[in-house]
Amino acid sequence: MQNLKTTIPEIILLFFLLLLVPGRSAQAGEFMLFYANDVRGEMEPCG
Amino acid sequence: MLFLDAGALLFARTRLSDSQKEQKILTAEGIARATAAMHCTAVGIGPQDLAGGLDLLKKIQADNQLPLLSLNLVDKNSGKTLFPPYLITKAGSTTIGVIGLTDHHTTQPATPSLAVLPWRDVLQQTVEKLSPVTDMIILLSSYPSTINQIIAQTLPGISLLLESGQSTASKTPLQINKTLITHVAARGKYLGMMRITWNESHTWGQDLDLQIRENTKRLENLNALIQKRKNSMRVVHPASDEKMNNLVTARSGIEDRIARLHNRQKSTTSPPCRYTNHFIALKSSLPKDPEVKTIIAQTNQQIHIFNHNQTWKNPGRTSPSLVQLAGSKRCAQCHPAQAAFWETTGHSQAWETLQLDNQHFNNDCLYCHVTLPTYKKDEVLSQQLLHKFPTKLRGVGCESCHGPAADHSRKPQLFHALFPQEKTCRQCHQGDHNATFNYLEKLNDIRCPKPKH
Repeated sequence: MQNLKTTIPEIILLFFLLLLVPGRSAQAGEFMLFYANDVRGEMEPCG
Repeated sequence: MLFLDAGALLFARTRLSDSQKEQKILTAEGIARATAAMHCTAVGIGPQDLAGGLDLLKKIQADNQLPLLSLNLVDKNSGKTLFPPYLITKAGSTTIGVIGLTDHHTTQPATPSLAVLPWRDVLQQTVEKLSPVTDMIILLSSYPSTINQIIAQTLPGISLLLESGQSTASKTPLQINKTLITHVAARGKYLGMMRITWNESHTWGQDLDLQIRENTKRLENLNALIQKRKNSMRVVHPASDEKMNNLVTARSGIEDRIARLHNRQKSTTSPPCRYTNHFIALKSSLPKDPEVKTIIAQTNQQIHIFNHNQTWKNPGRTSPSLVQLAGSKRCAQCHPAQAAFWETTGHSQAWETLQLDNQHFNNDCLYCHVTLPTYKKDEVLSQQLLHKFPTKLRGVGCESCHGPAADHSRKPQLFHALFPQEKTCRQCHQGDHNATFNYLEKLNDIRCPKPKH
């Protein structure tokens, strides 16, 4: 869980870096969606 | 950017046992703080989230400004929703409505004034209300997959349906009618990530050119198979050849499909909406966010202190069921070679590994890291085997595998050592803790040298 928050900004950064590739531009209506399910893994390591 | 959780965020089960209630509530409060720190856009309410009661859920929501949503959790008397039913947000230039939906079959409200309405009674009008003012509607649903598919078939206004639940496997997005349905595996081991390109068509679809190319390729392959079969010397009467008939029928189907795709291509004014989906493994090697790391550490410390107080400050004694266990140090007095070998295995360090993570008073973890006469969790808890646990039984000792030996230590002839069966090991080596456990392989690793007598 503690690396989930770091992962999202890093992935967004990667996404925007990809947009800077020549010839590639962000399309209208394009966005990122992240979804999680039951993030208790680190809080309840033993179930 | 959106970050959504479909539900079952705070508790694993719909009921809390008395012995674990306070620990689970501390954990839930920590999860809520961490989720808020991650700026979660919306969280659906699943049946499990009510395990601590409605008042607790409301308190957690208020204390953390947690964006909990549920369309169908209502006050029985007034009929009003107890939590926001939906929210409207923007991602880039796209206006998105996010609705929360709680499984009414599984939710057993402990609060008499709380009711959970069936989805059929409430969902359609909300979708119809949001459709004119949003570009896209996302549903966070704690219903099972079978129901979610019915919802998708019934309500095409929902563009994306995120499922909550306890599935250990992530689900590749499945399109039913105009709705994509997906979920990510439970236990926070994966994060779902979609890059969505949304436009005025409001319809998901693969590129039509790509579909035409794929079907054309299939058609070429079928034609080759048909030709090959015609040339085969084994085919005497082609008209009665069942396999040939099946191939011809399949070819006809693909030709029709290609024709329909070409027609759609001619009539389509805007391209379909597209997405790419990935499931990212949240490995422990990924860098830790300092704020969330602090929240987790603080929560674990609170739980540790609570459990420590429960164990040592509450009245009661060590369970009499543990009298039958002698402890590995006692075994070592007569079996030094076996004990020395055991010291080299992970079993001997099992308690210390918990202590390193401050989990050595956590009963959820402890029972698999100590020597007990049974490892069935229900029996461990009901017999209070972990209460004021004796030091001599720390670690997975000799008696974990070979059975209780206190009598044997007094009268050596009175013992028939058990040989650990796979089912013994799998009581702890299973699921999240050891999904790849191989009994025979591991047996070789922990097998003690044979005693001389």
